[in-house]
Amino acid sequence: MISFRVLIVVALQTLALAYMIFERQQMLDSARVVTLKVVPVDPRDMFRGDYVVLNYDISRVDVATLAGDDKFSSGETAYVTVQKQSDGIWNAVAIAHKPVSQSPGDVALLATVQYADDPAANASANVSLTYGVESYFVPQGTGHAIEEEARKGSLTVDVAVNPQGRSAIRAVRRNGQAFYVEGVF
Amino acid sequence: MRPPFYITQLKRDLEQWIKAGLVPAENRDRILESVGNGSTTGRLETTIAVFGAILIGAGALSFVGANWAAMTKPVRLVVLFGGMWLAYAAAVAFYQSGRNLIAQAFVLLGVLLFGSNIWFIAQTYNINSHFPDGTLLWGVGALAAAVLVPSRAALAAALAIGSYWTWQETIDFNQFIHLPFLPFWAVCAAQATYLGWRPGIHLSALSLIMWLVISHDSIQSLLGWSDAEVVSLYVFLPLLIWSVTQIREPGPNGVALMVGHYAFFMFLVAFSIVHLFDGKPGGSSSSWLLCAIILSLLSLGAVVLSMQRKGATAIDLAGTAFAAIVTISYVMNITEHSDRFDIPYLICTLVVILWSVFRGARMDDRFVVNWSVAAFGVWVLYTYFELFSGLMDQAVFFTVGGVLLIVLALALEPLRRSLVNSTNTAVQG
Repeated sequence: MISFRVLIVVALQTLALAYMIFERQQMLDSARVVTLKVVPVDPRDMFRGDYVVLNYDISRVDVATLAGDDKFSSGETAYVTVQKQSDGIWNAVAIAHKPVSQSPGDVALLATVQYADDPAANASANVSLTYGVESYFVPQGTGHAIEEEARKGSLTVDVAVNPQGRSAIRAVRRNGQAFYVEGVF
Repeated sequence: MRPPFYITQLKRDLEQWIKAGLVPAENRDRILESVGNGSTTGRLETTIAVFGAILIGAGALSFVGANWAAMTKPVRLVVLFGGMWLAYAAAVAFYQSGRNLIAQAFVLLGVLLFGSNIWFIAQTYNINSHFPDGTLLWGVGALAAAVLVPSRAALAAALAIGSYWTWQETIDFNQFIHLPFLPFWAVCAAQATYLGWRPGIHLSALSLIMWLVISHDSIQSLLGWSDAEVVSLYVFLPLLIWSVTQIREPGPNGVALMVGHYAFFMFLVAFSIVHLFDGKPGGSSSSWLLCAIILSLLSLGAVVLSMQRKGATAIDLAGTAFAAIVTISYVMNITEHSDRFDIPYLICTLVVILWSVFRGARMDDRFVVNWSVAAFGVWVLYTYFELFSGLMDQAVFFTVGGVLLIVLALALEPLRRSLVNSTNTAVQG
């Protein structure tokens, strides 16, 4: 009887861990992939141990220049609609509390508002957002090289987006060439 | 299981009773077994095994961390899942060989490895979600082990992890009153009660107190009450819980007694400090007044019920009413902390402390007596250092107070004698 009870615990815990991997793989298998440009961040902060901090063009947006809603507060969720540009990079075209599409092929990314200016008090109302793709674990000792690439402006990240708008890093590219590609194994 | 100090005292008493011929010597072991006299060797074995499990868990984490980059993803998964499965397999093997205490340590190791696996898998697959969710998943896994196996060690882990989870949500992420912690806590507390495990009850009480403390601002903002009004909740609620735990005789595992002790401690601390907080300029809110009256009436009702089994007396009823009325009157009249209320409130605090000593002594409850005496010591020091600027004022205050206490003691002596006589008559009858 005790063996059976422990087996149930092991099965539940194993299923929970397997689900984490399964869900991630489902997101990576998504057909919707957008390429985001990585922008340099404070070099002292970027490389932390064995992961790099990734900041994107769309991590901070000015709602006055985008379609959609104007007012956001920290902690709430928002949808940032991105559109493919001629250089292959996707840029923000709208931000709203619900997914909006400006044209066919647009992709809405689910984000969490970290900080939002009050539009009534500021000429430009900036909103800081996170998408769940802001850090990337790398082998020890390789972080500084990636940091240097980001500083040169040659780093981009392919992000897979599931139907709910959640994102996962699929690949990290240097001058368009992938040097990290995600997969289950 | 009875508390260890009770069993130690009972052992001493039994030796005396056997010598006096009151108890047959052959009944000694059976009496001790009936109160759950456990062997200290077992406890030591468990403690050492639990330390061992924690060290193995730390060793496994360090090993995986040190070789992380060198391992391919399949090898990492084999190490992560394999380590956890091995721990649980060892637990089953020890359970089957009858070594349940060592088995518990391996269940704990399994729970620790489950937690480390969550973080390592999140790292391997670059999962950057709301990280308290990972802590919650770990806590739920630990709670599942605590309930299904069942395991005390896993329950302790679940309470610690759950407390860390609510800390992260409240402090790190400014979550407004983290209510999801309460159902998690309730399941933990229910399991600790079901297992009759005293440290589990202690941990449950401590984690709830921690949640109350870190949720103070949220509760205040939710209710729109002043500081004094919110702090008064920590007077009324524990007073009610303490009174309710007196309605029935304490059970064999002493859970109600322990809950009552925590409630008493919170009540005494909150009552002593409520006068340090500000009220509202416009007076107290009607919602607070209604809540305070309802909680006070419920407390008085519980005391009346416990009077039926002689768990409380008219003095307890008066003491409960006094504490409730003083708190309500103070909070209703205070707008901001002012020295003019210090002396009346200190006198009221002394009355409540004396009532606590009286109640603890009558119930033979050393916890209540000891903390009441400690509170009296703090009261004297506070009064001495904070209240009076002149030595003459201090001298008058303490002398009058001392005389009153001696008069009170002399007045109580006949009461004590009549109680002892009536008890002796009942025993002889």
